[in-house]
Amino acid sequence: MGQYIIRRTLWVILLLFVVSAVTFLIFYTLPSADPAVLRAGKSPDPTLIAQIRHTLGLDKPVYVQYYKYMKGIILHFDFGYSFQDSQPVRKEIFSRLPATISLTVGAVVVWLMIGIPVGIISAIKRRSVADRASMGGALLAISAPVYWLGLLALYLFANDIGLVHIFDGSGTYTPLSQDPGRWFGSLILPWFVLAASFAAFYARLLRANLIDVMGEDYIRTARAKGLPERRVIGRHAMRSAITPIVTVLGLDIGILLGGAILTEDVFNIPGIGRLAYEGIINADLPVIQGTVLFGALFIVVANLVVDIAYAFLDPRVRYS
Amino acid sequence: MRIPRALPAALLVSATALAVAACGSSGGGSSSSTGGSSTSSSSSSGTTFKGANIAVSQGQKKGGTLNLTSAEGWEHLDPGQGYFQIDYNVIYAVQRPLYGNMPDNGKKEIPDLAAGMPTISKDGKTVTVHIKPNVKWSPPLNRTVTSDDVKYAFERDFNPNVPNAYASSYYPIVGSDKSKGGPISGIQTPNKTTIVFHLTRNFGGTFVQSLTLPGSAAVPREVAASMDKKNPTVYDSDPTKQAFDGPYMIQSYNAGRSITLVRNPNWDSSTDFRPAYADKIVWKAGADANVAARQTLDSPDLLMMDGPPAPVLKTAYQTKRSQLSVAPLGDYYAALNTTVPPFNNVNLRRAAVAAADRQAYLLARGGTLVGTVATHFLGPTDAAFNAAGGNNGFGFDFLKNPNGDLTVAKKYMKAAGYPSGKYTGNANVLIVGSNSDPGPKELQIVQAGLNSLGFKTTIKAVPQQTMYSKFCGYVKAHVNVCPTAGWIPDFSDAYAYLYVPFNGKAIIPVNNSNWSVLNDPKINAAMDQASAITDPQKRIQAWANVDKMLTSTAPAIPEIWATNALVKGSTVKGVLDTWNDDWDLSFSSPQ
Repeated sequence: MGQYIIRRTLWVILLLFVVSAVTFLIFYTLPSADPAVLRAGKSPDPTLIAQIRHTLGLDKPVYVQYYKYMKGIILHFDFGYSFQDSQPVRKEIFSRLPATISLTVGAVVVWLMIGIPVGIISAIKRRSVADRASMGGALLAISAPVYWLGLLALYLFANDIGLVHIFDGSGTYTPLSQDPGRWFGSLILPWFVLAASFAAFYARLLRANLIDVMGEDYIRTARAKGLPERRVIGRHAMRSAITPIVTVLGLDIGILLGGAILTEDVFNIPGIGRLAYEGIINADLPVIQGTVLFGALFIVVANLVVDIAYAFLDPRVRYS
Repeated sequence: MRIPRALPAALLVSATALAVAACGSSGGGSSSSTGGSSTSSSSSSGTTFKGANIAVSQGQKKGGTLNLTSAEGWEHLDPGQGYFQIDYNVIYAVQRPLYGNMPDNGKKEIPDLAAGMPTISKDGKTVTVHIKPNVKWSPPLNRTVTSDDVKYAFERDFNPNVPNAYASSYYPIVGSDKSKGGPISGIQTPNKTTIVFHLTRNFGGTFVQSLTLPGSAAVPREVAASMDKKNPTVYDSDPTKQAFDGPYMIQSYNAGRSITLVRNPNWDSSTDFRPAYADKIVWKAGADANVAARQTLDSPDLLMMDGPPAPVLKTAYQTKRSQLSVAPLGDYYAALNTTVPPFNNVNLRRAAVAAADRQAYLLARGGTLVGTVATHFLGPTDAAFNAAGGNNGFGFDFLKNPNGDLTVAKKYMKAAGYPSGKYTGNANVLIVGSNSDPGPKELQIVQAGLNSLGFKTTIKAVPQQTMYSKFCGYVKAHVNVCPTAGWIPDFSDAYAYLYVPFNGKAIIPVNNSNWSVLNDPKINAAMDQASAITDPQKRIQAWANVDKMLTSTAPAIPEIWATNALVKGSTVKGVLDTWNDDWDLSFSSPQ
């Protein structure tokens, strides 16, 4: 297991290098705005543009720029400064990370609490009214764009612009350290909006897996041994059916930690997603690089954790 | 000046431009004006828009917290680097340039840090400014602001580590071209309250107006110098560490998210024309524009600092007009490249102008609520607008019909040597515009006009920033037509309106804003002469004449004089700064 983890960690590092190199390449080869020109403003002297280009290191060959950038990260964990507002990217990412983690973790809890029971009930009560209703609802939830759903939730339930004033609305996010009560209240709507499509997807996935597993021989054996149905499902069927869920869950968490752009935008949650979005529209390379690298890091680490978790979940999996 | 949406400088993009066609009539030749107690935008069709009360005096009271929201965050909260509409809002509340403007009169400078109006030498090359002796810096600096602080501000403006967007255009100070951040030979401070600027040319009259820009706001050397040594400067990385001489100081700042301003305890109201009503100003940025606009309209006390999206604007126009302000902003025009065929021929340019359906441009942008059809280049915000013919312009036949006039167009085609009235040359006209709405529509409108005259055309829609940095602003790209260009003057003077977009001396190879690449020696000379005039009336007439020469030369198709829409809460007293076209933080009040 130890060797496996070391090997995977090395692969993670290599992958992050590849991701950073590809991002750099995309930024320089595709038509985009010149950061020096953007920074210089209206009708600057060409020498000013040249100065800015020099200042930002944009006059160096791409590989030199990439080398300096990676050197800064590896030696000093320095992601550079935003071209747009001169803020250190590392500071920006870390200051926004708690908001993104809050959003992601809460949404994960919500979608697991909804998706898993619904999936189980649908699988057990196959073709029942409850199954058809929940699967129909799931289809709707999967089809609804997050941005639209967010606006709808705000226009219906937000305590400022909603029809019914129930939950805190957009722009109310308060850090957990500042006021746990307000933190919780400000995230209720975003959690449900973000979780909606995930819960629906997980419910459908679990239902399908569980239906498959319930037809397996060992389930029939368990039943033949006289085990109660709850134990058959909970102890035997679920352990096998949940494995694909764990795989997807790991990736989803990784992706969301990289930023839930639309949810963060609609609810004005100052997370990494918004930072990435602003970096993209402003052609702000250090911010794009920083957020992409962090996003990639979250995904590969989550993937690693999932793979390790398999060993504990599935007795057939053994790493050497 | 930049306006919200993180776009390149000089770019004029209004969020209101998207789809308010239903709001306005299609009548051309309309007019708009601001001032008094409400915003008006009237058109020839007779529709008159009466919006929010934006007057300077609305019975405001001191105290309370002014709450602001916006979709955009800030860029550089540094008087030397700031060049963005919403950066200006903060900078003008916490810093004091030498001169300023009352919110309702952007055409007249009034002393801010300066003790009075400046003395300009007869040759227009020396400008002497006395500053108020009793303005103090905020804690912890606590000392009196001196002329050396102003001097250092100008040294910063020319410091490559402090990229300033306009110093080279508006501050022709002797020695500034060689400056790298150190002393500039053309700036002298004979005593602690006097600063003397020696200019390279007769430019005093214009220079004084440009002293309303944040670049003239004092900066204490002992606070900023060490930060300015870094490349780029870190003076704006944590703006709470700056020194402030305005009515407010920055208490907290989270880039792109929030900023809180509190009163500067060392500010003396008797030295300032700003009333600074609110005790505290809390601005939350990064909101979704749709949500922020609705929150603002449904709230009593919010001011939205950037424009509402079209659907919310439409709702505001229909149901909450008293919370909606619409004011003139700048120009949109389709630049015609005067250096390469076919539009290096003046008569072909006039033909292109005559064939253009400018009314369609207006409708594409959203109708009369978002602007009026332009007939020349100086817009309604400029003092010389009326002298330049106002809405009707100079009466050139190729601009008479806002829907386009093919007969007139063909007359000019013939004058250009195409007797059939159709272009038979080999040039293929490259038209490049923004790919975001309404850019594609504008591309099609200009293409239709040119095709009707027989021009072969190729259109290219690209992201807005790419349009400026790789095509329209890149001289070697030789783009023939840039139909989604726009311009907002940096200060309320025709020089700021016309110099950069139409003077040959302003042409630069990259990030060029003279998109027509117009370099007409007569126009250049007329601009030089006009900018040297200090008498206001003579100056107005001179710039009107420049506008007439320009319009006659047809370097661009004037599309619309644009307006900018803003929304406010139901009870907050929002005062519109007509020059910056945004809510003025020092005049607005929560109660």
